Amino acid sequence: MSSKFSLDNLQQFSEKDLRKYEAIALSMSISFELEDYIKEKGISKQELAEAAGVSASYLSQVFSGSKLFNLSMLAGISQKYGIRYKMEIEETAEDYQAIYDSIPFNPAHFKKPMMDDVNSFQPFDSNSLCCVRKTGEASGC
Amino acid sequence: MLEEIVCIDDLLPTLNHFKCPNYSVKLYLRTAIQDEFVEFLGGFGINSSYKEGDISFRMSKLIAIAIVIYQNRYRDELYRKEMANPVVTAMKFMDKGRNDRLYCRELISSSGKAVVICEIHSNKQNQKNKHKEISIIDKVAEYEFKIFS
Repeated sequence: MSSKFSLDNLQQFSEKDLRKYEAIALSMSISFELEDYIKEKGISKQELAEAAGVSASYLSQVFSGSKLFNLSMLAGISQKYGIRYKMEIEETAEDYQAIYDSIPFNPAHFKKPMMDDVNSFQPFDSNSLCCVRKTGEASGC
Repeated sequence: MLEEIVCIDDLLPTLNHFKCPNYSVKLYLRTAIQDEFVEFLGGFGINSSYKEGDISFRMSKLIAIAIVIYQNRYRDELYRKEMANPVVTAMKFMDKGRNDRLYCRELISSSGKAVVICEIHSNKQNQKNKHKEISIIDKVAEYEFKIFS
């Protein structure tokens, strides 16, 4: 079996489906905002689904990334709860790779950081994980 | 015995909407299941067009799960703590008519969280955890790790 991680393959597949993956990430980001909102307001997912004009099962698929939010769903939620979405367009840092490389321990979710993110980043201390006990709490070696 | 683990964050594509959390979270894999993990992502055994080294079959789901993890969140449909032992978590790949799980360990330190994919459980048959699942969860809870770079 030669199925080691193949970076060539990964690059290829990532490039091919990048738009799909970005759409999932965008839809998931919206779902986090809505999740926080309904928790705060005590709204159930069933109620949210009704407002969005879809079934609870469909909404569950949206929350799991299998389906994507569409504008009609968001409009329904907006109308039902009297909310307005704030939209902001922000460019990712142009020289993000240089910033990324300058971080002592690269956090991988930090692929294209915004400048504010860079300023607030706390490096992850890998050494603290070299010896881990059953409780899940890390201790130094 | 310490289990070797390797960071797999770079496996994921560069996405602008991987929102950076205020909390550092990294994703690791137990190196002992590296080959099995690649085959799992490629849909070995269930993907008729499976090719060795192809990991695209389940990539969308892995990305959705990773987004939840990087946000330091849990979501029942994708990633949740196991009731039997909360240091163990499960990534849920409930799609394509299957119920596959990757059991993980969460390692918390003052500087952040590491999520280590430890065991692959293909096509869980029952909604509640039975002996097989409990046995995997117990095993995952017992692992001790060292970072392999």
